[in-house]
Amino acid sequence: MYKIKVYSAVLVMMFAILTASSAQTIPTGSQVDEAKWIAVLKSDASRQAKSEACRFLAVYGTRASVPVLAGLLADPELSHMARYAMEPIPGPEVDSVLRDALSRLEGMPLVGVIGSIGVRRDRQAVPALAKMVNHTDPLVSQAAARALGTIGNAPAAEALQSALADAKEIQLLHVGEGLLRCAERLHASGEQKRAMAIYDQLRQFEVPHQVRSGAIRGAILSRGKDGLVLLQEYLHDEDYHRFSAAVQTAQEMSDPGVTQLLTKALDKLDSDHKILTIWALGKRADKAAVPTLLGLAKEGEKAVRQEAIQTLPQIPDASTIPVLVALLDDSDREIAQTAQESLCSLPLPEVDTAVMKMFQGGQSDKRTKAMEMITRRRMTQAIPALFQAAGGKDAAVRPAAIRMIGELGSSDQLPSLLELLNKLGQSQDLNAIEQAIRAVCADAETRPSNVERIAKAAEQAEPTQKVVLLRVLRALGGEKALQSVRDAMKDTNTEVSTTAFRSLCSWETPDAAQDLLNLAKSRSEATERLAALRGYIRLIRDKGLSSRDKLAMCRQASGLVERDDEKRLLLGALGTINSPAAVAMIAPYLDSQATRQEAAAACLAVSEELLKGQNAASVASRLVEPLEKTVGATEGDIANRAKALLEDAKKKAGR
Amino acid sequence: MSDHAFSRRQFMKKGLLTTGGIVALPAIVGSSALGRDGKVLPSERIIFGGIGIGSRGSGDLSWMMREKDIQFVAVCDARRERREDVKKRIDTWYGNNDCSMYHDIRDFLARRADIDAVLIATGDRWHALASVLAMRAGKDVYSEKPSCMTIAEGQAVVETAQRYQRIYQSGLQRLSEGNFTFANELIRLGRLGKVHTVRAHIAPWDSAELSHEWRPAEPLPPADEVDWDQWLGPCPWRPYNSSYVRGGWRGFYDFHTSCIGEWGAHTFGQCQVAIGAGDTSAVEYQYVKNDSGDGMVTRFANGIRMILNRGGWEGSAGGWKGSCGVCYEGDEGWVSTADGYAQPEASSPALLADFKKIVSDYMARTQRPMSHVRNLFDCIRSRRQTIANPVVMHRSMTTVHAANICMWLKRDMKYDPMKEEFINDPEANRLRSRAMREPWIF
Repeated sequence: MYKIKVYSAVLVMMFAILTASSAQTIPTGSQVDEAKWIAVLKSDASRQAKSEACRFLAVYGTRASVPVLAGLLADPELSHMARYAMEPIPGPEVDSVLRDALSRLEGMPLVGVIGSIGVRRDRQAVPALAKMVNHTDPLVSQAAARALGTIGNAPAAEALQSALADAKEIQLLHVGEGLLRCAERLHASGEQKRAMAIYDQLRQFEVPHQVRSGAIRGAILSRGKDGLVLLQEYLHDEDYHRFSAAVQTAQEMSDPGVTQLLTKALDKLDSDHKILTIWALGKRADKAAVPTLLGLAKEGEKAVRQEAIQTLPQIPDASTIPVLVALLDDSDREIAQTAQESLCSLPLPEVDTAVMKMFQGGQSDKRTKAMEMITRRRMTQAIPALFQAAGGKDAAVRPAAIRMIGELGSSDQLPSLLELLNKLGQSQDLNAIEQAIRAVCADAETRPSNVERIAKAAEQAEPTQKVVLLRVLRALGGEKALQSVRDAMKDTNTEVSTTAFRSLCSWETPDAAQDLLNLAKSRSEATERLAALRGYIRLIRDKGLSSRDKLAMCRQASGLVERDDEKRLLLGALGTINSPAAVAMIAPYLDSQATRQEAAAACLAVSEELLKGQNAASVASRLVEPLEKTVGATEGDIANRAKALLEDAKKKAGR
Repeated sequence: MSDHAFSRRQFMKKGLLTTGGIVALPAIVGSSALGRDGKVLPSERIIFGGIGIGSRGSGDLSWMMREKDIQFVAVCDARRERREDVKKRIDTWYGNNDCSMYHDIRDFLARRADIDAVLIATGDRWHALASVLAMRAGKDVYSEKPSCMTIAEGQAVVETAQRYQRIYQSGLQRLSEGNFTFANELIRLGRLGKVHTVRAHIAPWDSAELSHEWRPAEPLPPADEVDWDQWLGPCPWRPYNSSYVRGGWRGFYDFHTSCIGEWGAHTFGQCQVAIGAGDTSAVEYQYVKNDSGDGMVTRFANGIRMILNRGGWEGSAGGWKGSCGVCYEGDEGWVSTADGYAQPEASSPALLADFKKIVSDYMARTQRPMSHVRNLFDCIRSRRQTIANPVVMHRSMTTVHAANICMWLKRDMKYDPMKEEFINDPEANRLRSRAMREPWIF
């Protein structure tokens, strides 16, 4: 009777724990109760409930929990969770229990216990673990080797060193791991000689390549300055694993002697070995390597030269500059290109001086190359020189120089660019300066004042320059720009007035809509009326317009469209208006073979949006008829899509 | 920046293919003709195997296979369906039938000495263990994120990589993307002035709280179809339920690192690299009374605060319009970026003017291309550290784990990154590790 009561209480409590745990990852505050979790473990509770208790004991358990947990270590279902709880519990009680378990467990539970002993670094377990390194169960012997390594004291190291000689192939990796762990621990605790002995034993033994690499690294580093001798030895090793292990280790060493060893070794290496060494020199970034790298950059095999050139920016040094400048003229274009990229990346002010010197030299191709570097290095100090070139006689350099001003400059350069514009006449220069002015005026904050300045300049400009400025104004937009373009349409110069008209027809914001509508009605030439109408219809797509405004514009346009091309353009605009009225306007165009496809696409696009929207029920009935018409007028995929939408519309309309 | 990355690739290909003195890159070769036992010369193709390639791993696999100087030859997965799917993809790509399949990772690693490197894209619970086992077997590693489940797992990855001189890249691919690199470089170059606050995006779904529940037991399939013991790996046993293996493992304490780890595994690393804290972790964590950690303020030893945000916040930058965002605030300006941005947002357009130069200079200075997988391949050859190397992964994941522990224990915390322990908080310290289930023990 008493037992039944206890079990009932436990089950209720267990349920409470599980409920709490589902709401909260780790119980806190009043939910923390070790005694209750111990009771769950002692009860007939389910595996899940006991696992859950173990999770919480892992955080809050004390030595009071250890006896009950110890009892679970042999249980195949709960052994892991018992360790899960015990592994983090501080104190000798857990160590004692785990050590005791070594002699009575086998198989997986034993493997787990050995692992936990390793994590807890229980030195008293070393004798027992040492006996298990040659255990017949490979999982046990491997776990023992690793655990000994984690404990990492001298007796553990001795046990593993003895085991290494007789280790079978399957064990080598794990004994090697154990020994490397030991050596790390010993080195960290000041026992360099012991650590060194382990590394030396491993690097001379037939172990997997990665163990040997680790041993080489350890052997070099644990020797301190004396490690250089060993490093040198491996830098001449023909085996790539050993060579590569040494080069990789060199990247961790700060001793300046390492650079000397690496650079000296380079002479006798083949290309692959050279490249690896060059990479290491770059990573070390020691200036002492620069002369050697420069030598490799100048001549030799192409891949090695390229790698040396690419490495130079990692070790910024002014002596590099003349070599890289000379390499810009290399007969191999890829070498020249690599040298240019390296020169651009060198973080030294002397490079700017060299580039400016190149720019101010006589040859067009070198000046062009210098300009590329000026832009890449963002050399704003070169802007005055660029202006000089932009106004100079070298026609090959001029447009590039103008474009560079656009790339590097800001609106501060606008007055000078406007002044320069007045001196230019050739089309390639004019195109370049149009791009440059647009680029320097790109900042939204300064755009209104820039437009003001450009508009004023346009008023006073000669026709050729005025045409450029009108195109700039169209690109910048805004009310002031629009007014300037309107005014220019009245210009007596035909080129100016035509440019103004074209600018207006390709205006990008709806503030030009009324102008375009008027032009579409009033221009004497049919082609001009058409251009204005097309410009007007394009504006209907503007996302800033309300559906109501868009519809009003469509109605205006529909009264003017005559050709199928403009009808299709209008249908494209109608397809962006989510309104039943748009669908009603679209529907008549389904009758014509020439516009049917665009009309169907527009009708489906709008209907789809409307039927997805919040007001679907109220608009659905107005979509039924146009959709029926679309179904009848189309075939294939479009008809199928229309049918599906029609069904949806009918359903939402309650039909 | 992509031009530069291309030029490096071009070098790798052209230099290797055309230079007389260097061994020409082989055409696609059968795995039996390989067997170099982890030795990758600068001129040689890198031989890869895949471990646990699911949906995310498929993206990695595609990006990697496009690179001409690597070749996948084997796949290992506890699920037959996925093994066969991935084999089919690999064989189709290379036009052969050479991809071998393994369901036991130990068997795979022991038998394939010819494989130089592995792509690990299992569920989170396996990332660290698979990385350690692979590196111990002499392989270099690309591991998806979050790359460890506990602080102790992160330590093991660092130690193993160092012990065996292995090259390791964690899947923090934004560290190799232009916008994020640019933002980081703005700090390094001092363009934002003295940086006082960085903001790290955490996933706007799920919770910091995780479940211990067991889903109802289903009949255990044959091990060849789903090896449930291996699927669970180092985690506590629970009964089989097919939804776990089909991606339904998120939200469980044993398998997931919460909404904080989901994106924080990326963004904490990005922020820490940006502020020069890639080799340390936050020292203070302020508990917030919500279920996600949104708004948690953490602080680094250098005084910089890192704030966890699910989305928006009050202030000039105000929030992100894409995933995995970061925002850096200094006394002279701020920069903010996230996935999908054409370019970063900044307090002033002038800050963005040098975008191309800054990213190009970064690539030249570090020799790191704007391609995360390319960075790994280059480093496998050069034996240099990758951008998302084990230390960066472990230290940023430590911040993730500490933030989670702060939320779980519902109190402020202090952490000592030198000793790698919480200060005066024994319960928190116990949560730094979890006993691994045998035989899946480091």
